[in-house]
Amino acid sequence: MSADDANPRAIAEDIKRKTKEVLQSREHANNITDILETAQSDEDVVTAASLSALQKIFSTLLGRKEVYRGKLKGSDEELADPKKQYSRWLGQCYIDALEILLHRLAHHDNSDIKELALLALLKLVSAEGKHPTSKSGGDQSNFPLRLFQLIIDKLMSSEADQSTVIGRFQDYFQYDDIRLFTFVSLHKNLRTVTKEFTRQPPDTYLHNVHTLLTQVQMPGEGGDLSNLYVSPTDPEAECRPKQLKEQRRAFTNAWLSFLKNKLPSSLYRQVLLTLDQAVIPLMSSPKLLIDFLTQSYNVGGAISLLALNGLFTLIYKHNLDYPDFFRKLYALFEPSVFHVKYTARFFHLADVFLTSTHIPAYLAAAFIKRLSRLSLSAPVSSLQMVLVFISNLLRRHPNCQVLVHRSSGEGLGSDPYDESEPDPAKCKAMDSSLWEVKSFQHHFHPDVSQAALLLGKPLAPLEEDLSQHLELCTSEMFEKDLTTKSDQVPLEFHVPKGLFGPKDQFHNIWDTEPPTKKHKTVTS
Amino acid sequence: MKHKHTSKADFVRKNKKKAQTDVKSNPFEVRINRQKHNVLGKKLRRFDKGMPGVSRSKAIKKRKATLLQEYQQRDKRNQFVDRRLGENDPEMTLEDKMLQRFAMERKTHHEKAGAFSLNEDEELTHFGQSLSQIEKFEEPESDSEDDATGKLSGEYVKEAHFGGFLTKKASKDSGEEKSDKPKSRQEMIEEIIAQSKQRKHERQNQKEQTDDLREKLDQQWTDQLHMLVKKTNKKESQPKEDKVKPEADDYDIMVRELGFEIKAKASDRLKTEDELAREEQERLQKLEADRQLRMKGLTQEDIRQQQQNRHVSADDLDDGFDFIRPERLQLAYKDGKLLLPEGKELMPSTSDADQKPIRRKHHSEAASGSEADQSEDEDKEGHSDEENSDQSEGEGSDQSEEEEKDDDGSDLESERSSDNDSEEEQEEEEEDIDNEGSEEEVEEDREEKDKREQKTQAMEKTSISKKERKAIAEAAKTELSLYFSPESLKDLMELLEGQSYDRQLLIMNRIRKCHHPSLAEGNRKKLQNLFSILLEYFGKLANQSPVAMEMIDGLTIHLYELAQQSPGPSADTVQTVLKNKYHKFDSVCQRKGRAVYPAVDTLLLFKLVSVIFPTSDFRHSVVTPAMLFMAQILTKCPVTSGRDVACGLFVCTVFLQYVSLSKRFVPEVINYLQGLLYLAVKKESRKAVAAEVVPPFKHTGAQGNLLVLQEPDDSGSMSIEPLPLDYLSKNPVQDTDTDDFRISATHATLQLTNMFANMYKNLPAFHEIFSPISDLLSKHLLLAAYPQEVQDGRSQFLQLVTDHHSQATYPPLQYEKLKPKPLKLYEPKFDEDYNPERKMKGSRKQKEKERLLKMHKREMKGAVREIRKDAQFLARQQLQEQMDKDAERKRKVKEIMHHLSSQEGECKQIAKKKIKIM
Repeated sequence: MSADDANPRAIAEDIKRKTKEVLQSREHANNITDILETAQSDEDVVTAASLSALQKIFSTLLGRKEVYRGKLKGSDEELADPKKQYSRWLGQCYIDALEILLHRLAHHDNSDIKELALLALLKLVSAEGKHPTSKSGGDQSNFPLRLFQLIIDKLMSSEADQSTVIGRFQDYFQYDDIRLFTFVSLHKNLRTVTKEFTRQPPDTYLHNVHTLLTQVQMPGEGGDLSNLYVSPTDPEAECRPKQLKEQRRAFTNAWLSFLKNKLPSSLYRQVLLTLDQAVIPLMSSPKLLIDFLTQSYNVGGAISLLALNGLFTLIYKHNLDYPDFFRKLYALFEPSVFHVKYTARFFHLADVFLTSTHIPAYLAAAFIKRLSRLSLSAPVSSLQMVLVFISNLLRRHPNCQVLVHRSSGEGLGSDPYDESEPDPAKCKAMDSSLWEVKSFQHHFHPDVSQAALLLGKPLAPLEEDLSQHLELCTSEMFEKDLTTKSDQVPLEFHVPKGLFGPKDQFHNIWDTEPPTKKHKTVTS
Repeated sequence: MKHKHTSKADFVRKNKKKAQTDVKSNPFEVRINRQKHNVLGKKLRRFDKGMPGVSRSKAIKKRKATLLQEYQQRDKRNQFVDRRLGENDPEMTLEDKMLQRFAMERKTHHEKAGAFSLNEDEELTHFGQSLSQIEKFEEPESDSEDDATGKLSGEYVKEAHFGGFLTKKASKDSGEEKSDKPKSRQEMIEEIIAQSKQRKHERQNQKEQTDDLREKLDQQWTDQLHMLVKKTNKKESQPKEDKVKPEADDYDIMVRELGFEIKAKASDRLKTEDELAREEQERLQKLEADRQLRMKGLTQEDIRQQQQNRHVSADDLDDGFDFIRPERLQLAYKDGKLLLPEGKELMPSTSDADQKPIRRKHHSEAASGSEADQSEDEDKEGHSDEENSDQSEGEGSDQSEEEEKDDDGSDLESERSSDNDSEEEQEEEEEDIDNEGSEEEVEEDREEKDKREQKTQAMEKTSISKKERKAIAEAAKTELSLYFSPESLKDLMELLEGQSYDRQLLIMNRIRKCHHPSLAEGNRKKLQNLFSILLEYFGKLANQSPVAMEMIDGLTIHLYELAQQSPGPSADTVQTVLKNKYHKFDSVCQRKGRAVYPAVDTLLLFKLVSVIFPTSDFRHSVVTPAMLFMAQILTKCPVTSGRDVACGLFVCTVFLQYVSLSKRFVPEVINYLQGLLYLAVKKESRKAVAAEVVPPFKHTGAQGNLLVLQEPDDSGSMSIEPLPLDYLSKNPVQDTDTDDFRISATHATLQLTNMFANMYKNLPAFHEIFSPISDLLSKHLLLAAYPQEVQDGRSQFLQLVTDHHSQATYPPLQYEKLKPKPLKLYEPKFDEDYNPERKMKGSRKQKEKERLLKMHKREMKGAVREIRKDAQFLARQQLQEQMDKDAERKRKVKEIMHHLSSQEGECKQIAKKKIKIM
């Protein structure tokens, strides 16, 4: 076309004009083919204009019921009727237009175009829903499931990151039917994709799925589920989107088929972080997550640390029987626990797990002793938290107070506690004492040593609040130390002879002689 | 005005009337307790007088006015408020009320109507004259103020009061006689007023002039006073003054001389060396005791509390008597002299404050120097160095004295320069003597046998250093005027540019001496500023690639002394510097999770902190943050190069020094040392050694073999040198990638480990703390190829650990035994001079409290009584109402019955009549 080298804006204007013409009369129907052509242009402005034009044209034409939407079986006897011929031709155009739109949604560099394509498609979904073909609505809802499935398939691209488009899609999740059918189609899509990639689907795909899954806001219990995007023929009738049970089941299915895949570790962590709050309460049967969680728990390291949370929820709320839970928790207490990102979270959870006073005393003692042993390699900022943790445990389990106070007993040759024993029942923590905590009474930081000193006295009956110590970091301690000012600042009274005195500890290790002096001796 | 007056009068009258009505309410209510005998001075009891009936009726009246009103209005929502003017005022007559209401009406009308009226200026008058005219004169009644006496001038009286009569302005008005017309009265008055005004104006002028003059004089006087005060002690100043005021007579001069002469103050006798030494020792002991207390984290208040809570024995008489009170002296004389125990003076020393710190410092240095001497072996080099530094310090303080003198006569500098030489010589002689004295003091402390020898040595040295000092001082004097203090580091750098380090230190010394706080207001501030500038300079010097230790040492001393002068602000300064460095470090840490080792200035700042501030305190506003900073460095900075190792070792050493006195536990250091040793272990065939390391170290990594010897074969005979500070800088001169460095670093690590292990020997978890290191050393790091010294270090450590382990008893922990609270068994307390009349003894606070309690009780009682009376009143009122109602009802019933009976009667009568009729 000659318009190719023309100004893209002019083309866009032209498209608008053509759209109007098409809508005015059938005479200009051939403009549709032009628009279909321009829709494949490289110019963003032109593409955008033609995409919106297509949407406008077909949503109107669908409204006029001029588009044939049955199977295109090729030339039949009906071809004789020019009206039917026209409608068949329109049906063909419609399919082409949908293809173009879906293509744009899946593969385009500009996310604005993608969004535009998505919006156009969703408009068409709504238009199709308003004027259903007799076949499409199997149930009462007139939702065009086939088209929607196509949209979701394209949205879950395995090549491009679709997060911005999905962000746009999020606005539609307020409609209960869109939400439901998203899950349904996603579940289907996941099944086909996992079949397709036999080993592992690509990371981008999984990321896209995760983004979509986390964007969805599930309705709460007893919420009204009648906000439908495509209104059914009978608005009063019970249909799938209106049932919370259905929604939840679809949600669960989608999640489960998502979690079956092997996730990349960053995504894995993210999923585990949100699982407890955002997913488990909304699932129809959370117990289905057991496999996933136990597997994650056995991975070790940070992953198992994070899996704890979900697992605990299952145990606590859904009656899961997990025999070796505490033993595994015990194994998680290792020196690196103080140096990872999730330290605060871990200790918060550990505190929750050990809240029960019905835990056997030997178990509590094992945890206490292990923690105190670990604290020798902990940074300053965690020590206060550890000490508070220990003191709280001691309060909950008065039987364990033998660890800090044994009224009779002689000195032992060595610490009976066996550090390398994985079973808390056999580590003999009850026979030991917290000598490490006692050592912390001489810690260089005043707050730590004060906290340790508190453990040297009979404990006050009330537990301390652990949460205010969990997030404590060194910079906060630094600020606090700077601000606690006494009115008088004591000064050193030994008069110095230089930066390094002859008597101090630098003497043997560092060569602190002024270099010039040495030179002098050399020259003289 | 008038209105106000009347209202006041009204108020008074009303009050009077009220008082009268109160008293007069009912004569039968007044009951007076008559006293039979009037006894002088006897206080009347409360019920001996008064009029209970009156007060009761008053109370009832009041209740009627308030409570009763409320009671009657209790169920009513609306209230009728009579806002008519004067309606509630019983004093007003009807006429008055009407008048006021009319006025009010007019007023409101006027306000409403006048809102839009323009140009309607009402002319205000006073005695028929327009006020606007009168206002032209500033003070219409000025004639009455003509004189101070307030009387009219004689002339005016003559003219105005006696009218002139026959002598009618014959001569006076000659100029105006052309008009030949007698002046009207109006004109005359105007003339008089004009005259008086003129006179007044003149008087004002004169007064102003005298004021100006006086001010000028005052100013001159203060100027000269300034000079006078400065110069009175100098004889030369007198002739100058004479020149300024030649007319002053001898007497004045004498008086002023006497007035401003500085009187010699009584001073203490000079103390002997023994006394000085003892004082110094006591001072140090006290400081050490203070430090110990702070180390335990006890504040002054705690101590006081402890003293208060001390055990009270049953035999304690509670008279404050204490056996431990050596201060009590027995007064005794011997040979007419007061006998004093050793180390006691009759009076506390009151020598001037400026001299004292200097002398003290001087002396403490000498003492510490001598200590060091005794403790150290006869290390000749170090010894003489020390001597030198001692010497220079001594000079410093001498210099200061000189400077102070200088400053006293600072504005006479020019004069002095003329006869400079002779004076200088004199001073020098004096100083010589001084110096000898001080040296002797120093010598006195040392051992007796080498006293002589040392003394002669010292004499020689003083003479040598004297020459040098003189040369330097003169050079400085010619070039520099150091009477300004640098405002910023830039200023200081300009000042110090191109000077040698010795000169720079001298310059700093001079700046400090010139701005001694005792010399002028604001000097303290300047010195505080100087402290921060020097601190900045310290950082700058530390970052130079070959660290100028000499200069830094000098600076350290200056910083120390400045900090001694103003502890609080210097601590603030160090804090801010520390804070800035920390924030820089921490922001990197939070972004990346790790950081690089800070520059040399930060590392040396840690060391400087330990020089200026006591590191053993339980909590110190500078030291504790510094330690936190260092701990974070040790946990967050991964070791990737030789420089990192050196920095880490340096921080560990600083930590060692920080906690060497308090023996506090620093787990970070132990973990770090373990990590360093791990770096020296040869990791075979990629398999990580089964030893635990704590971040920032990793089991495996590119830098895992940082300290492993490259050529183990020929390293056995290498000599070990202490690490030079140069390794700390970012691009060190010496290469750290050599076996030499590795051996030295390993050696240093082992040494530090040994020192820490020795320090923590008494920690109950000693074995647990050091077991990772001992595992590492005994199993993996055999150090066979290292020089003997390194191997010794290792075996020493292992020996220590095994020894400790064999001896170790792990006593089970027990709670601290709390002291049982003793019952307080006091003897009964007898008050010898008990007086029942007098109030209880007690502190003012106690008394105040008692008083308030009493008042509260009384008020409470009063309030309860009031409430009870209110209730009674209301009950009475209700009863009354009920009775009224009943009576009314009775009356009505009676009436009705009466009516009915009369009706009945009538009816019966009529019936009878009917019967009769019928």
